[in-house]
Amino acid sequence: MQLSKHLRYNNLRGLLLAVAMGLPFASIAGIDQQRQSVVKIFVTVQQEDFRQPWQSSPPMSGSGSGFIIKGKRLLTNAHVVSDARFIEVQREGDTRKFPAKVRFIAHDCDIAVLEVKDESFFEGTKPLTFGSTLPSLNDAVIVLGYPMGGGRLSLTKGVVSRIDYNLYTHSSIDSHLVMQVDAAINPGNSGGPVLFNNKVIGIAFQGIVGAQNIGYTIPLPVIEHFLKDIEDGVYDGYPEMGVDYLRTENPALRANLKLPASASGVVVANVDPYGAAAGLLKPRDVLLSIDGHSIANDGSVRLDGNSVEYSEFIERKQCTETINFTIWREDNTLAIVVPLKRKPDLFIFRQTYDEKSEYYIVGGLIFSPLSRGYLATLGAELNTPAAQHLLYTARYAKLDNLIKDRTQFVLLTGRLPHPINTYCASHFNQILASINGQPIRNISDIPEALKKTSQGFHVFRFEGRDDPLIMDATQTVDADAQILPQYSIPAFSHVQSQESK
Amino acid sequence: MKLTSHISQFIRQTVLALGLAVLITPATRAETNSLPASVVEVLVTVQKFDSHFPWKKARPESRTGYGIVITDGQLITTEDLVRNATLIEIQPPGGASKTTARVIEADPRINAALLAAPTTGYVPVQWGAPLRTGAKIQLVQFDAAGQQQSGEGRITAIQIAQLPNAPLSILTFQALTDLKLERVGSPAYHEGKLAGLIMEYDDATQTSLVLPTAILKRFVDDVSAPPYRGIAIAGMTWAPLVAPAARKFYGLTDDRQGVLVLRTIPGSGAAAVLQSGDVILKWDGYAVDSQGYYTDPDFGRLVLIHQISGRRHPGDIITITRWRNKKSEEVQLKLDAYSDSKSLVPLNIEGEQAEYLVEGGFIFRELSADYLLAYGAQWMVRSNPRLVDLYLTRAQAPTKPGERVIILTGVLPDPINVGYQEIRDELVTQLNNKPVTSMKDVFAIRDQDEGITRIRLKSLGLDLVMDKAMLPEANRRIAMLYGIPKREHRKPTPAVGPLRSNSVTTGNQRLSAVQGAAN
Repeated sequence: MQLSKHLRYNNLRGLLLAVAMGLPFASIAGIDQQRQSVVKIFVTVQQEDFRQPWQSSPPMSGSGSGFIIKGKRLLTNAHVVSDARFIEVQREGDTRKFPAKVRFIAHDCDIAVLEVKDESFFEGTKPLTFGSTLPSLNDAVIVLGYPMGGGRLSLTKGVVSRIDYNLYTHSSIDSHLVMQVDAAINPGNSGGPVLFNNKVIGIAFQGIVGAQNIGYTIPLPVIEHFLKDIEDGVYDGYPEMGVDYLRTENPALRANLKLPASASGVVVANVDPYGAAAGLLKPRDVLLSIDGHSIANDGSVRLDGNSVEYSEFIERKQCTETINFTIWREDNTLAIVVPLKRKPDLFIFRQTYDEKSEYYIVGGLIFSPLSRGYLATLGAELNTPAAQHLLYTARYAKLDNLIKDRTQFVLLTGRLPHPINTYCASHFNQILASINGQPIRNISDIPEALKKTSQGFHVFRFEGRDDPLIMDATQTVDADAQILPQYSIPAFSHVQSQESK
Repeated sequence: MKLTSHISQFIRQTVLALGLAVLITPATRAETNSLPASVVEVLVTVQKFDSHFPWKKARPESRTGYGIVITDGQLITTEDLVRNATLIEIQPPGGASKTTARVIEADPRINAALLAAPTTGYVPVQWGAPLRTGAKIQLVQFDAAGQQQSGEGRITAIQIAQLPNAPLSILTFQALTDLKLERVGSPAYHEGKLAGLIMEYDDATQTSLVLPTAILKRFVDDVSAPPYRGIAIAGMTWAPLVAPAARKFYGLTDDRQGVLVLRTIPGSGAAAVLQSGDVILKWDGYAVDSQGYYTDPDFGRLVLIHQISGRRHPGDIITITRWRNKKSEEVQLKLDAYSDSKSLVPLNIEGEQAEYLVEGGFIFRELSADYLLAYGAQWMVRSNPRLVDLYLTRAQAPTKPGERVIILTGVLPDPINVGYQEIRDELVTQLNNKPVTSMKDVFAIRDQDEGITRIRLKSLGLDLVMDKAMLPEANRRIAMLYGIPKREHRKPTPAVGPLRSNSVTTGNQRLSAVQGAAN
């Protein structure tokens, strides 16, 4: 299954569409008020260039949808306004476009809040209100927005087909509750509201390439979680429990864990060192109940008459709250309280946005940290052992203890050709281990390590490689002075301070 | 279009050839261009083991190629033609009178096979002398009626290149030809003598890859003086040392060229006298340049590898000049026999049946290259990245002799393994609380404990547990339900001499397979 996140419509036909403006619009029974509050969002985007991190992609224009909520704010998808250089919003039937700014952006659940400085934008609109519960399967919903194929507001109708956990492709890592509808959702619909009984119960956000009548929307609980999170003026994000579990369906496993026949639950298989449960739960612990709700052997919990994953309880919590587990550990029932906090996880390799990629150039060699964005640029190079090792590293860094004392995996991503680096190509995509004997734990270690030399040379050693790259230290300085202007590079490095990470 | 990928086309042509033979008088073997009548058609029935379900065999396939008679009762062909053969037959080109052949020896490392078969009526080919780039060659193949098709070619490159059906590199000729070659094993002649065998032909560029006579003749000489010694290795990896700054760093002056030693395989001849960071200046009497080339007396500028695999035998002691601590020194290095079984992740090019155990529905085996490659063109993304990485970066680097990677390829669902059935392609670290680093360990633990009931995977922080009381019955049930004739395959411990390589065993196994089919 390939999920597409390209529901931001990259519009190259803006002029054509403008012709259609100003036509009288037909009344839509029952939701005339709501439609006033659904806006079109025009964005100009520049994505990071992970191969040439000192520059960004050419500006691209695109469009999406959004809607007005209380407090003179607009709600839309994070992916509509990610990497935006300039944002404008426009109301249905209005020729004016108003500049807007991102106030909050949540890449882990693909939601953003925009603000419009000019209050006249909101004149005559009423904020959309949210429903109180999710609709059930087969309930009729409508989707409003500005998808491709025309300039005016579009309405599509359908029913709720499925409510399930699924991947949010914007971050490529996070999974949350997703509401699937069979109403048409197309590029440009992103950020538009999904209404049930004239109230918002979802935001249209992604589809499946090649599938029909499958549209994914962000359901109410995820939106509510986000809105609650930003109440204090900061978006903290979802807490990560960091627990892998195994079902306790096998009688021999249950006997081995000495789990009483009456007890049900799931057994902890791994605990992520960066998760909230680190140090509190351990493998072989059986999670019996969560916040007083008993967990079944397959990990499900009865909630409001429905069977849901136990992790739904964690999904609904904020970072400052706690989770109460009853666990079975070595013949005993214990109560474990897990305070939920979001630790910075450096090795989850979430797709990043609105962030300048770090790099360091020395002797024309380009060093950058391993990132999902960089891996995505590899294309055909992925079939090389070095790139496969990077994929392995990205996935198993924590489990296979590859991190050691690093905070980043620094790679040689390429070279700016110059006689000093003519023979360096065989080290591309290798992980830098040390320079002049100094271990490289992150990109900020590079300038420090280059202050010394190895008897007049710079010796770059790479993980799993026995042939170092060697450069004459004095020549490196001269070479870089030539390379930077030659390749129009504004600065030889972009390194964030360690505190800001 | 690659020659080797058109097995189905060969099958069609074979069927056509057989049909025609009934209708027309068998063609006399043409002897145009005064080339000797040494060429036979080799018809092979092949049956591979299923790498993922190692008790199963795939549907038999047919392959057709050529063999060249080299002496009475013996012919040579490419190893990839007879690989996994269950039946080998030969016939005159376009003819219909088949006789059975058997493999005397086949070595996938150099893609050469020696077959035994009746060769009455054929003229043994004469070995040609080594050729240089630019040399003209004549090519021969036969149409369905047995009519000879001739073509000309020219050697455009002599180099160490990868074999078409094995991830290994040897001396090869690249030739530009004007004949559209359709089968492997067809001969290339130079002045009426054998220059080599065609391994691969690319229609788009009219280029063929030729297995040179030099390699074939050494192979035949080796087989003719048993025991077969096989291909030598030094037991090290090296890299070019071209960058001027790096050369200066190692203290090398312009008159000292040489390559950098990266890593030596523990216990190898190289490990005894070389270490990481040494520079090899001279190898077996020849100066080595900074890119690893030397000037071969027969073939000109070649990569160092040919000196080991193409000019020497296992057990030979050679003299090399190493540069260590900015001092030059001559040392003696003993070459070893190449042995796939020494690898952490063996290649198993031969496609031998893997050792496996099905216990409580868990399928255990050792990780090998053929297992990963069986995932098809997308094998790198379709298997577990951890296993792919082990093969790509650590295949030759066991931490102790005999170390292998034990994997759980999958679980055959049964009540005994409920809750574990979605697990596949995981690395196994312990069974019944004991570490496992080879199938030998797996079988020993199973025998000692009368069953495996605790499985520890590298990805999970706890054991998967099965009910021991249920195990015998579950094993019977699973074997019956999933049609597994044998729940395990254990290789007999080979009683071979120190110099005998893996391929000897292979040859014998093929032999028995052929005899089995003949009965």
